[in-house]
Amino acid sequence: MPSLLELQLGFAAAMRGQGERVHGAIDGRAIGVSARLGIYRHAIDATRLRTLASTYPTVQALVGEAFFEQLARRYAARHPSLCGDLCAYGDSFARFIEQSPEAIGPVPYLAEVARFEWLRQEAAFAADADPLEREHRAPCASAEPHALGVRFHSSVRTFRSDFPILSIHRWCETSAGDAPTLADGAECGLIWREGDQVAASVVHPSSYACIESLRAGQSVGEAAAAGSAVDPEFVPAECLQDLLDRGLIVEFTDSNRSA
Amino acid sequence: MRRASPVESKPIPVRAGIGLRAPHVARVLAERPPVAWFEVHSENYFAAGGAAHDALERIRGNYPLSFHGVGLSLGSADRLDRAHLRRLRSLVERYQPALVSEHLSWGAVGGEHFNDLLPLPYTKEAVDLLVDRIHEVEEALARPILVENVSSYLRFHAELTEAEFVGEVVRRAGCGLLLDVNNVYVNSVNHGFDPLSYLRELPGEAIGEIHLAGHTRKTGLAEPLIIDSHDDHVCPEVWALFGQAIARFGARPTLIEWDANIPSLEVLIEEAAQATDRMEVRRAESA
Repeated sequence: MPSLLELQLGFAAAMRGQGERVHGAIDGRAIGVSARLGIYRHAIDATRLRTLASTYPTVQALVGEAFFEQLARRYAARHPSLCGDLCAYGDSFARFIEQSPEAIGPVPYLAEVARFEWLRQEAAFAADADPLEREHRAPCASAEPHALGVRFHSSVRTFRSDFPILSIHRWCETSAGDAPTLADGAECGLIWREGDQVAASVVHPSSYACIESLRAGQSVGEAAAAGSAVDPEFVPAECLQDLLDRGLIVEFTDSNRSA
Repeated sequence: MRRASPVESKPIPVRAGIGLRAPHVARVLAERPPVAWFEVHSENYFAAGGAAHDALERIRGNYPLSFHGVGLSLGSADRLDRAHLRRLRSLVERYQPALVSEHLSWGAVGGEHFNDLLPLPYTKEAVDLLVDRIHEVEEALARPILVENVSSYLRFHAELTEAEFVGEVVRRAGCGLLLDVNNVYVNSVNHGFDPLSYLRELPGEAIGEIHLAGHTRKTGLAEPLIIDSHDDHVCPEVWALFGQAIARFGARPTLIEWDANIPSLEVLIEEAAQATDRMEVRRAESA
């Protein structure tokens, strides 16, 4: 009789279609051992497919269910689940798609869409935090911008793509209006959690540069300069006010101390 | 952001509850339907924050709550996943559920997770390992847990029967038993044993919860086979076995599990009412 470890390693190999060494440990009866193992293999495949489809609905909509299933199977073979919590499964799907010519050939922006959808998942599951109350915003008005930093809500993510990623995502969700075309150009923006929904918005590249600077821990003064470098007309106060109004800033910090 | 104080959940009543699934959360929050208690899958709340936690904070104020784990992989030859256990402990500390349970199965080896409830060999080695693991989990959570017998589609050559195995683990670990009556029935068909004999082998005093569910009977095979699909009503044979179980062990908190092709909340409430009615009849008969 094999040890528990030997048996489980053999079972795992059978789930990957890599050998029959566990067969001898199984009481087959009339329904054969392969068929019995196949029930488990099918259930495991179905769980992984369901999980990826739930995380990447836009990718699935763009390539269709049959091709998505093929992608999911190949992904599972190369990237096994490493966690008992399925929410973590699929974190490298975008990189996998990037390396799959058969996927990005027909849909060159597919990996970028997948990256966007994983950011949405991260935003959905990020820690809760209270937005900065209006009465706590006043001190920032008089602070020296180069000494002032911000802490974002933990759900805030940014995206930047050469393709109109958010427009594609929204069109796949609703099919409303004309389909976006690649001529619509690049999009950058923000993703965050708003109530029980994940929200996203395109922002001007100057605002994106400012927000990225703040997210990197730079001061408001440095972030303002980053925004102005993209667009001399950039108004930092409007960008900050927009972030505050959306509840995306949870704290003003002393950037000298955090640095 | 709401954050509950760590007060203990209401105790689980000896009535039938429902497995809380995403399609019903909004109605449960809005309408507070008459459900005796809810059970949730622990891993569905492993995220740091978000809508699911917000809903569960509110639900726990109105209903007794049980946490049912599907991903700890108690029976793996690998050591327990410490990160998974830490997250479970954090969840249990936050919500203080009345019951915490896991499965007598494995799901990971060599670091690879299959995210499924895979069958164990009924051997003394596996018993020893499970007893140690259950103690490790109970120590980490600072509370007792229940362990559930699982359905299976194959059997390994073994030293014990399944019922002996389950009974031995529960007796030696001193933990509670979550008796899944549907799983007993499924396995009795898939492996050709008498389900009543199975029940007679179990340490009845350890049973802290019962599960009931629907299943799918495969046709056209060389011998009977049932898939534990949790996608239908409890079948007459499982209701009958449930009656036998509560006649033998007494009524216990009972859960209707329905995880696929999820029906309306009314259907689940009606299914739970049937289970509660059967327990009431049993109580009246034994009074």
